[in-house]
Amino acid sequence: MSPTLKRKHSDKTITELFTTQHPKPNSTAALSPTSKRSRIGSSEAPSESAAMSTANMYHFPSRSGKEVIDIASSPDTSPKAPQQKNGLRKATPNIAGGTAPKRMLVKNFKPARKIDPKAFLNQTWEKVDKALDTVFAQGKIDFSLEELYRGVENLCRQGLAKDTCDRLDAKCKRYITDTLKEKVKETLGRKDVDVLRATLQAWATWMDQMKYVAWVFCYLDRSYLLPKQDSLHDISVGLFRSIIFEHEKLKPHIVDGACDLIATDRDGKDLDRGTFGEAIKMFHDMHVYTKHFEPRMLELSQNFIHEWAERESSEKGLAEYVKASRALIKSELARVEHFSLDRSTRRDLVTLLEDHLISRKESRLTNQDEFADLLELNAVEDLKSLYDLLERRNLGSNLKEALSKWIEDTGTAIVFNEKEQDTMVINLLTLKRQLDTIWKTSFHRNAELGHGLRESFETFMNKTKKTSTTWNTDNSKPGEMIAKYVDMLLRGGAKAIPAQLSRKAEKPAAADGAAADVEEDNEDVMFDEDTEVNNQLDQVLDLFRFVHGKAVFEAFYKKDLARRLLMGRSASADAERSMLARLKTECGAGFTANLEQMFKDIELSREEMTSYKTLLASRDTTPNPQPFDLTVSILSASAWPTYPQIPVLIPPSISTTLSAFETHYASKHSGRKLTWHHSLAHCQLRARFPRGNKELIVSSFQAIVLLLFNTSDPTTRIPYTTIAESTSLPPAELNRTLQSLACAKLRPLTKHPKGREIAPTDVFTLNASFTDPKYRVKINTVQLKETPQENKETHERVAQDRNYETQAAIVRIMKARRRIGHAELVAETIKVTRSRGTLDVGGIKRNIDRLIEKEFLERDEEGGGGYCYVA
Amino acid sequence: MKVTIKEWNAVAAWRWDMPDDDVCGICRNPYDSTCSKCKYPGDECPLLLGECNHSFHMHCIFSWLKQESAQEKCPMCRQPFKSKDAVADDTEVQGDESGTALDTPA
Repeated sequence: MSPTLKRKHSDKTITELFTTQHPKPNSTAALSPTSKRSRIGSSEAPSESAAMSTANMYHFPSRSGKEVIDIASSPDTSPKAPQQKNGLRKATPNIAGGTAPKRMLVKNFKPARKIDPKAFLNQTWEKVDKALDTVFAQGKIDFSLEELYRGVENLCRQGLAKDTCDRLDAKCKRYITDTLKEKVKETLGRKDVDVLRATLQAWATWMDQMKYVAWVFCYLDRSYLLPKQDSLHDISVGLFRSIIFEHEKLKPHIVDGACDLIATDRDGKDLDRGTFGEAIKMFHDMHVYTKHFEPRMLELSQNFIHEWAERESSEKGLAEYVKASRALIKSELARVEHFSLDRSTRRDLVTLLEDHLISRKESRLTNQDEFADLLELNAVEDLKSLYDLLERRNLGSNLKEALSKWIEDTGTAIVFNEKEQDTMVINLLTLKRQLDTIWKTSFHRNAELGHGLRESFETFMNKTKKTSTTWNTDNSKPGEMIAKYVDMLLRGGAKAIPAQLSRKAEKPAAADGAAADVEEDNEDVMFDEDTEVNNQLDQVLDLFRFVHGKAVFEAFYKKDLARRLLMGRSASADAERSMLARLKTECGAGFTANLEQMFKDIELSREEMTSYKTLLASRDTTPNPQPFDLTVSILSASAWPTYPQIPVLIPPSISTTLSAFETHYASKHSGRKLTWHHSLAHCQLRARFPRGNKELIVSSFQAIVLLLFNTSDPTTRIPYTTIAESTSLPPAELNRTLQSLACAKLRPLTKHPKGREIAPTDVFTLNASFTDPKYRVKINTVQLKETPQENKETHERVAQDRNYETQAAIVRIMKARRRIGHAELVAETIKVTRSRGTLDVGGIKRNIDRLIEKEFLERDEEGGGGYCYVA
Repeated sequence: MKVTIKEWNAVAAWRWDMPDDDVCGICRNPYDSTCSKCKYPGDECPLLLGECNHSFHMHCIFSWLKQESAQEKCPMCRQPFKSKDAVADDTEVQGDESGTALDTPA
């Protein structure tokens, strides 16, 4: 103590010297002792004059080795002054003498040191202690806080800061241990929440009381504790923490109390938000949040979530579980958000939740059966929730397996449903659309799932089975049905679109129409119809893309196109052309070359007929100008489907006209020969029925039969045999024709006896009561419809063609490779023929055998199991 | 009752007026089929009948006649090859597009 004082004293002397040199500023400083600035200035000046280093100048308090920083620039404060009341600075007698240059200030200091610092401390502390007791007892503060403050300040200035601090510490410790802790301890027997509440209570009290303590000990805090990187607040919090919170009996209860609050909230009961918020704040203030509270809370959360997940996942269905999980995550995060818990808590909690609810329940979430149920129900929202949940852990793609399985099962069921062959494409389209929607909205266009979707579509679309529907060929039925569906679209236009598929397309169209001007309504409808058909074609092509064996589609499409072209049944030439263009981009020019040729043939035929008619008109000398309007479609045989020649006796009136044209054609194109396909011809008849005139659109066969009844007697009865003789139609064809005339909805003929089936003993008469609201009546639907026989032939031809194509492929491969192993050849063949339709391995083997028989290849004797190409 | 035909939409397919089982003497493909270079039979790959009554795919005989060693002779009978009918030749070469030209002998 004494060296410190001495040094201090020497400091003072320097100032003193300075003061004498510059009396003026010093005098002002002396007169107004509160003006710190001038004092600091005065302390600076002597350091300059004494040629002290600048470092020293700025560090003089530390240089002096004192434990107290003289924030009030204390050189002239004398430690002797014992009175706290007036405050030292005011009382310093040396200042009063500062104006008198000859005053001996040194004398004044000496008696100050006579007072024992210990006694001074005790004396001061006594007062402070009493005040603290009042504060802790929450009594009325009837003392001057300023006085106490001064006292503490003086103590610090005397270098008694450490002692003061120790005493305060001990005092607080005692108070907390004896009073606050006991209060908290009283609640120990009760629930954890009560312990927490008591702790919070004590904490609040303590904090409140510490305010006073902080006021009183402010000087201590600033000057003694701050340089030690400490503070009164820290000490008070630390005391509370170490005595109450970290008490081994209390701590678990306090923390669990907070956790219990969360548990209550999780149970769905009301959360004591105030208490919980305060608790969190207290934990933060005590710096125990991360160390003590968070781990415990996470541990309990983990238990809770684990149990929750186990319970919920076993009790609830997939959709409900997903919904509940999402709700749980949401509420947990909302709580975190509301009480602004730490980011680390949030992160860990999210990890916990995701881990238990998603990762560990992954197999549950991607459960095949329940996922399938959701798909079955087309529960877009539930699927979306499920996907979103899984996607939190980037597991969305794991749905792929279940999705693929479901699609394959469902698709296969549709494809092999023999009873509903006709609606197969519609069902497939519905399925596709449904899945597309799910993929887009529920799965957020997840690339992997999209891939899986397409893959599984491809798989089931190409599953083949030798069933009766494909006449025991392994042709792909979807190919055929798609072709037929397209035919229906192109024949019927927008009207043909099944309701369940067009509904969606109609809605936006209707909205557009409403938005557009009323005047343009008509155009809109036209436009919409085209768009709708195009839409449908696009969708069908989406399906078509999945089909590997395009040969079946081609065969049926060609057949249907031929029928549409020859019967003039296309709804719109534009749609036909756009379909052709689509196929061209889809399958290449080779695929559509024949189809294009068909269009060209029809075009050329039209030109041919125009020129023929012009020619006839210019030669009107002919005695018998054409009795009727003749149109001939001239086909290039190779581009069109093959049609069987059906022998029929053409009435002379028609055959003469036909042969006239034939002669004309032969003379124009030498080297060409025309073959008539009467089965494809159709015509319009003017018929005078007893109940009115009608125009009948009939097939040529129907016409020929009807012409037999062309007598004046309406009651003519013609037996079956006579009809057969005079038309020379084969029985199958004749039966069909008669059936269409006498047993269908519209019956220009009457069969005796009545019945659905035609028997050779039947007799036919004209139906005198035939009538129809329309003037033009179409009865040739039989001709348009495909017979099972035709269907079978087409299938068999496709299957046959595939054998040829396979053989051709084998020969091409052999030609290139010369020598090849069996397995490799089979693999290559499958690769090459995939786009048109592949045979199974057995089929390929048979074709290899056939080629060996034809001596295109031979078995490789040396290589074993391979083949050589025989040039 | 009286039925009269108002309109008749006939369908006919044309083919080369050759015996069914005959093949082109050069490429050995049937006349109805194409020459070895073409892909689709029909107008694009017509036949050519020589004065010697031997007929070939037009593409086949043309490429034969272009060869030096052929000396413009029919490969079947070694007589100088000449197309039988100039008019028919034109028509065949141009195909049905020439159908509008009313050059048919009545």
